[in-house]
Amino acid sequence: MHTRPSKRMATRAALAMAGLSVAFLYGIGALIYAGLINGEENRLKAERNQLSDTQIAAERGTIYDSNMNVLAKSASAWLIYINPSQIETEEQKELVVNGLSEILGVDAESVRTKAEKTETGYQKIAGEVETDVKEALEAYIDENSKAKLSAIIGIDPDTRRYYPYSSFASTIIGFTNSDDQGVGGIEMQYDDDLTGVSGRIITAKNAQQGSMSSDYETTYDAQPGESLVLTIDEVIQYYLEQSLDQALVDTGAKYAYGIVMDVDTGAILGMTSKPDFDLNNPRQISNTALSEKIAAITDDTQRAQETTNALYAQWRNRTISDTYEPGSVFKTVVVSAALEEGVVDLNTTYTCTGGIQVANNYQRCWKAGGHGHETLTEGLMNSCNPFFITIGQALGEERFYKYFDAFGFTEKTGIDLPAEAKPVAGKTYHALENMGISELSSSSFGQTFQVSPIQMITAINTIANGGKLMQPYVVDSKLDSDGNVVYKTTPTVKRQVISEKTASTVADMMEQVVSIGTGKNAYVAGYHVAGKTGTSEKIGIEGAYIASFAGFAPADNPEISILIAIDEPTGEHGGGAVAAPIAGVLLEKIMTYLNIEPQYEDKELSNVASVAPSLVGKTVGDAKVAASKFTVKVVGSGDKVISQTPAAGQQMHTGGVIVVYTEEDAAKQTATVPNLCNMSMSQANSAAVNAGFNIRISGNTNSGEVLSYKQSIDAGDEAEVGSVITVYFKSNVDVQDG
Amino acid sequence: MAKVQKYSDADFARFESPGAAYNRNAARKIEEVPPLRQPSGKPDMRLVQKKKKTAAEAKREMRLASRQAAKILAISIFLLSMLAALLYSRLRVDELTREVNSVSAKLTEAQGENVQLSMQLDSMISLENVEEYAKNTLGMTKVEGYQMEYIDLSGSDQVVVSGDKTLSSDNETSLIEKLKAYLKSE
Repeated sequence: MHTRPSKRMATRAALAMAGLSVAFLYGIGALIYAGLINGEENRLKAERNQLSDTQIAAERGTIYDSNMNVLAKSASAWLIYINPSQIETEEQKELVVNGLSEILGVDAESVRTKAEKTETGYQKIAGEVETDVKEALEAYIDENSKAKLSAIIGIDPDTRRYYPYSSFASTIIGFTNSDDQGVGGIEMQYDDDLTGVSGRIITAKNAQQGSMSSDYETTYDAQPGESLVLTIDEVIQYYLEQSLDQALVDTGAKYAYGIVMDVDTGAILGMTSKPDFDLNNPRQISNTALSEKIAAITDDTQRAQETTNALYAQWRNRTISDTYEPGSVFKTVVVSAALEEGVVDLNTTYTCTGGIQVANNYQRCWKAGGHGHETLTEGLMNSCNPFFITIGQALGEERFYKYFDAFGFTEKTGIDLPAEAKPVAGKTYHALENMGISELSSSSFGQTFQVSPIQMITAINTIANGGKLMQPYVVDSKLDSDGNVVYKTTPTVKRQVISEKTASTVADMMEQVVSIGTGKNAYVAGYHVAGKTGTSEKIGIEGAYIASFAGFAPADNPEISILIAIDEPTGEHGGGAVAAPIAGVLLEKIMTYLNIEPQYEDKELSNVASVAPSLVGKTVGDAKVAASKFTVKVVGSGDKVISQTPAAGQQMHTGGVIVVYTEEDAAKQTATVPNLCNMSMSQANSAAVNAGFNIRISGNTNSGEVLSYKQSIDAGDEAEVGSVITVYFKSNVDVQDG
Repeated sequence: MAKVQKYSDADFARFESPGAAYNRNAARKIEEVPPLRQPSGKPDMRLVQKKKKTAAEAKREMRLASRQAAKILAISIFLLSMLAALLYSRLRVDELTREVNSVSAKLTEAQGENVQLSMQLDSMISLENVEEYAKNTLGMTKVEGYQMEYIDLSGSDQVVVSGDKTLSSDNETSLIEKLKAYLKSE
């Protein structure tokens, strides 16, 4: 029997169908809305909800010296912060303030101020915290678990830049700020190479915000920054810094700066500007006297201003950012130009009468009464101003400017360091169109214009390098994270400024300057040093001078160029008296380190001191025979020599004292060191021997009129009898220059 | 009306008293009432008596049944153990991930500490400190130029034979001289 659905049922079914269709359409609509119209926003929401994204900081590249010693390196460290909104009780606050100030060594008051900002959720307390300190803090938090410090004190990863040798090469290396960006020196110049590319980890997270297994993890590795190998040689840099630190003490100068350059390539082997700063605490004023003076200023704004000034002053690399009048050092450039142009030759002579009329001015020679008749070489040796004014005038403005430009004085040297001083025509030097006879004449002896020390040494290096002007550089190569060389600097010859023949002639003349001229205090026995001294008055400051010496060695086959400048020395201020002795001592050390063999001449050999013989193990009688050239003092009643002072091999003067001890445990005899300054070599020797000491002679031993000016053990100190005191000699005769 | 017609006379017989039935005339016959509906197409249902099972048959069936049960049990154990293994492996993975994370965090920390310490070491053995220690504590002095022996290696290689005869291209005797010497020795 067939039954038909009733009308009512049909209506119901239709209603249900309609309802379902509406719901279905709504579903589709909602999907379209969520997926297509509002898709992007929802996708981000979902990602935020499901994924956690952590950034991995790329490790900053390392900076090495030329011998691969680490000069700057980054490592992970910690950042400590507090969440003041979680501090509920006074007790908690005290625990936080006391614990943090004690463990992190930060000022308690500043922590308290931050802890009182309870409306905030994040206050940084200290960054770049080392692991041991972090562990001490963790232990402290555990100890006070009742006070719930873990909710207040937070520890985040951070990075820290280490400079193992503190202030070593600080003005070259530069430093980084808290964002790990370079803000000076190499760190700034090569910031992009050193920084690398940050990586990230994207992980799925569960409903409890915990991370899920690594199946859901995508890691984009951070690419570490490139490492840099500098041309700086740690040992040469150390010698340079040591000499200039000492020079600041000895001369009382405001600043001292120096550069050592490789002659063939233009690579900088050492460069410093003293006083400098501790790279690990760049924002601390390194000069304690100045720091105390600033701290005493009561006005807050003024104190802040003075602090900023002092910091910028200590960060300044004066060898490239400052300019000075080169003075007589520049005469080497003038004589090179004149020889190259055939204006003068070695047979050219001049008679200096003590001055020369230039336009309406009478230019005096630095030597009252004049130098009299002199050859070209003697003119350079005497640093005679009228002679060089005459040479400059013979050269003429155009040719003078041509060489001024060719030697690189009108442009930046292009060294790969930030903040190089830019020469400005009409301001730092005379533009050709504005150069009259007065400007030409004063420029001919190195005055009325300014150059940077790096420009000056690059020009001097041109003479050493057969006339080729090199571009100075400090980064030798770049390495990837596996240590592979990815870039190597090739030395750049900018141009041939003068012929090789002219360069060699000028080099010979400069050697004469050091042998018997104003540069004789830079003389080093066994090595042929070429150089020129310079003294210039600072513009606008009465009685303030810059004493400088620029040269190279060995003169016959130059390997290194050097420039030493002492800014505002007190007392003596001549380049020959102040800068040349420093250069001489430094050159001797550097050439010994570079294994450049000394070639002593017969006359020099007689000055080379004797050597203490080995007497240990000999009988007293034998010892006296073996040391017949010396005075032997026997201490004790034994038969055999057990020890001796000075040790075998020590350089000492013939006739010096050797103390031999013949008993075990014999007390070392001491005596008071006498004053050995302002004496001739023989006077100093006898004064030392009389007091039971020996001397070793250093510095200028080539001239007859030398006087001692420094001793390695201070007068009045107690020292072991027989000790060797190094006494430094220099000449004060005919070392002045314009 | 139609409804009344549906019933035949005989149908009412049961409502009559039994005696009345016999008192009726003999003409009253029991008519054959045709079945109301004829079952068509369907076979007749028949109750078939099952044969009694023999003991052997029963045993065999029991064996089959237990085998079946064992199979089901084995499969479910297998499935369960798979599930357990799966869970365990997830657990291990999680555990190992945690371990990897913590160890790599430790590694980073240790590397950082390594750099910290090596930098400290480097700063302790800076040239300045080494020089000071060598001079003041060990009483050493700097090597002087005259104490160094310079060896010149710029010349060409030479072979020295015993008897201090130097053989080099410069003093090699000519063939004729060799011949003369040979003849002399003869």
